[in-house]
Amino acid sequence: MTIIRLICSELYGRKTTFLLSALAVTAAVALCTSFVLTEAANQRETKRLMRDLGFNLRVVPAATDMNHFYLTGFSDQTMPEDSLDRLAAVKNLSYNHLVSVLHGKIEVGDREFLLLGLSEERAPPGRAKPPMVKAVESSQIHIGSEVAKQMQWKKGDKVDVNGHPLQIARCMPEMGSTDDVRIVGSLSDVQKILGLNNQINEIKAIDCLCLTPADNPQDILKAEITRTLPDTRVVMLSNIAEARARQRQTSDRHAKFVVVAVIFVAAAWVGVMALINTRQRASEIGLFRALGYGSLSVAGLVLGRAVLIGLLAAIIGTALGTWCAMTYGPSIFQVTARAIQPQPTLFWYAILATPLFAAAASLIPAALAVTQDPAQVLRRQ
Amino acid sequence: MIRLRDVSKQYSIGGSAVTALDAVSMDLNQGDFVCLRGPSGSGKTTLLLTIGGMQRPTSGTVGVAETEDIYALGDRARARLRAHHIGFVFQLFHLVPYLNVSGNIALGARNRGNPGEHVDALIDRLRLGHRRYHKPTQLSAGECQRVAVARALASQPDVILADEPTGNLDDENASIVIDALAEFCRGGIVLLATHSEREPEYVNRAFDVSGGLVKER
Ligand SMILES: Nc1ncnc2c1ncn2[C@@H]1O[C@H](COP(=O)(O)OP(=O)(O)O)[C@@H](O)[C@H]1O
Ligand SMILES: [Mg+2]
Repeated sequence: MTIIRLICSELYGRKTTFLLSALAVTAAVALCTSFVLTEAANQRETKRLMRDLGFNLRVVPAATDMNHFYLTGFSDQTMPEDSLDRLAAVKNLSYNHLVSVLHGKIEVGDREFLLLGLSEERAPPGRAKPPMVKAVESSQIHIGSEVAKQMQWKKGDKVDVNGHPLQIARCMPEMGSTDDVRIVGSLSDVQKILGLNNQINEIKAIDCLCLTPADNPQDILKAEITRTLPDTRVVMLSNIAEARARQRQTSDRHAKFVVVAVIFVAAAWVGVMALINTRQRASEIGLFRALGYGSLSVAGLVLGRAVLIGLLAAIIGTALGTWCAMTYGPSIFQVTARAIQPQPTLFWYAILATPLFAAAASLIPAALAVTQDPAQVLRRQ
Repeated sequence: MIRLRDVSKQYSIGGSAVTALDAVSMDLNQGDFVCLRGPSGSGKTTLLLTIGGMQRPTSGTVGVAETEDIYALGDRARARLRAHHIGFVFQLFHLVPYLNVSGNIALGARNRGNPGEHVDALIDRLRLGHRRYHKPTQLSAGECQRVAVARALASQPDVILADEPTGNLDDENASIVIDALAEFCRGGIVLLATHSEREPEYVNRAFDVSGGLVKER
């Protein structure tokens, strides 16, 4: 009778302890699996929420009068439109969602508004992402709530801005910011209206460093950008950048904590179950000793049992966890549900790690089984 | 062959020493059916466990088969010696609860190449044919002990150490067990411990055990 067959018979013969241990490991594997699977969606969702905070990097011409910049919200200087192409061509850039912007003031009737032209969004090579802002189509504009109110403009109206006929594609709701007095159009239209062909005065971007101010991301970003565009300076909206970085880091820490806690509880449970099992088997182990089983075989009985439980738990646990993630994940992460996909590599990883983990949790019971005095249990009458 | 030389065993309980074996010497040879008779607590179990390599004596040497002193061996070597040379039968059977009759007997034969046929022969010999696939909980005490004897025989040992093997059995089962041991004894050694006055049949050497002292009658 081989050790494996002996272990299988024992598992089959003592179903309760077996099921209880298997349950603990299966639950842990299932939890970790569904957690990992939904984590992708969670991160995307977080990213999206954070992204909605807006751009946090502004690249402006180096000669910009900063007083003007902060007082009006845009640079008084311009740079060539192809700056964006040059920047977007750089590999390993720590920026993404690059948009070129031309921003200025404009009078419509007797009112003064802000006029903003936005280009299509660009991404560094190989890092294309769904755009954060949709460019406004040519000959169309989006208007802020104050513009709509003061000009009595409605969606669909054809209006004249500085002699250029444009159609209102969208009236924005009240935002409580300068957005409310802004007219947004396509970059080329705005260039024409402001008479600044092929010029922009800013490139907006989001950094993907996710560093907190303590890491001094400003230096890294500045060094990167001035290599490509020497005549520029980088303004960082540190509040937004920091919120983004902190949120991601918190989310990471939380994920690690949950996984570690689950693994710890499962390990304790499996260890205790293995301990109860070896106690229950004291006389059996004494008998095996009398039959000539050595320490290795006795340890093999306990550890092999753990490995088998681990294997089973890995198979059922990943299946169960994947099912849970696929079934319940989408209702939690409604926007990014499509990011929840089965991961075959996770299965192989579990098949490898779970038995090892279960065996490690059973090391103490195995040691007790090996060192127990067989004479003591065999002399019981 | 078994050679004991001045084998003593003391247990210390809370500072005071209990002498379970007191300078026991004996020589046993193939064909010896040995009865160790003595009251409860006299040291019989201790003697059997010591000969079987399960309990290290405080002093003295225990020789089994070609090995001069089995306690000079390492743990693994002593385990191997048990697997090949020694069979145990306990009063409480110590059957493995989740294995059926055939599985329990096969446990004893794990160091033999192909135990299948051998196990079948033992099942027949101990008249367990109709019980082959039953678990220990489904057996009577007599049947359990017959399984335990079959398991001890399965490794084809040189020595069988039987600790009150008929203590819980009726006469019919007791005689099946004793007969099987006697048959084995033609080519080996049997040590049988008992506290009953009645001496089993076939016994050709009898020892009285009392307070750790062992005397041949
Ligand atoms: N682990 C132990 N610790 C202390 N004393 C023990 C232990 N095992 C046995 N003894 C003592 O050794 C003596 C012999 O016991 P044992 O060999 O079991 O006798 P028997 O089998 O003849 O009844 C008894 O007095 C018993 O109490
Ligand atoms: Mg006894």
